[in-house]
Amino acid sequence: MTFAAEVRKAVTPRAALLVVGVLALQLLFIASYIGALHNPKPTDVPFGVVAPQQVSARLVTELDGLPGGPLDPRAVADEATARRQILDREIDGALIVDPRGTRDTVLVASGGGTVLANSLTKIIKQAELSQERTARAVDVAPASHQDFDGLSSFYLAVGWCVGGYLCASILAISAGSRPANRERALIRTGVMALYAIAGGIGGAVIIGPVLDALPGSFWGLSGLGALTVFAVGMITLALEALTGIVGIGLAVLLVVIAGNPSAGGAFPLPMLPDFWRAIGPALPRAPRPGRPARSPTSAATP
Amino acid sequence: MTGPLLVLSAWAVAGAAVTLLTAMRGKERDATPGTEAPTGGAGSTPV
Repeated sequence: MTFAAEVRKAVTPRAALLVVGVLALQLLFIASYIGALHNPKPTDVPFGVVAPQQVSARLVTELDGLPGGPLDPRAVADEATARRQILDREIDGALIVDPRGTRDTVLVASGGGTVLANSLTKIIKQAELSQERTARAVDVAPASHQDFDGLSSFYLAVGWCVGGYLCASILAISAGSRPANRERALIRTGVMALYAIAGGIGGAVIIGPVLDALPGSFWGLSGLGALTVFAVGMITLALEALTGIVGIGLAVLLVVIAGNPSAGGAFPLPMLPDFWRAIGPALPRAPRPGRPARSPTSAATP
Repeated sequence: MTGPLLVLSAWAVAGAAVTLLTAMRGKERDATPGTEAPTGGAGSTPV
């Protein structure tokens, strides 16, 4: 058989379509990551304002009208409420106005992303200068000193997602894309659950006790990891069961191409373009666990 | 944090349900160990 004949025999329409599909995934990967992350800027960041009633409304209006619309300000009752809302991720920062002086306080949470915390501090300090006031930043949920730019939690989440996707893929490759019957489906689900528990605990051990990169509850983090791995694994198994080998590509599209950039990566959600901000919360990807619950520590910077 | 956890749980439940329902339709079987994986690719045969 000639080489040309061998090529004609080897390159089936199905194989060619699969290669074209993978090329499309590759280009979507590039477009999604660069589209989401090439020009991050804060837009409509939920932001609290704690001030006497007669000042609060004016401040909210002024901050709402800043060029580029970086903030979505709202009045908050008091500093304790602002701190709680930051830790609960209802807002990303807050301005605490001192009615008796000219030095105010900006509450931020670098544990949720150092870039956003720094951006908020800079925005408020510039706004305060025009009012002949100054502001000091207080970090109510600081990132670990072993966690440069607060990125460790993102990489942990990526690892969990990749693990869930790979486990489901290897199950399909080794035993078929669709379980033979209900019992086999339950076995696969059980295997995925055990794998997810091991992956969740393993990730929490590495980022916590081993590398000291993320403070917080070890078992809480383990549970979050297990749920993340299980969710990604099960949705991958489902896509494979529905579409065969194409399901692996669909899982990559959903979790890696759409999910990871919209999780924020180096930049928290409020710094992403509208499209990724819109799809991110609905996708199967781990929420960044970078804002330790009720962090007992806070760090002030002048 | 509750919202993201609910989203993850919903995806997990949906994935498990689809996997189970698809398996109950029984169009393809698990391969026995050592045989070629029936992933639907060229030459693969459901066992």
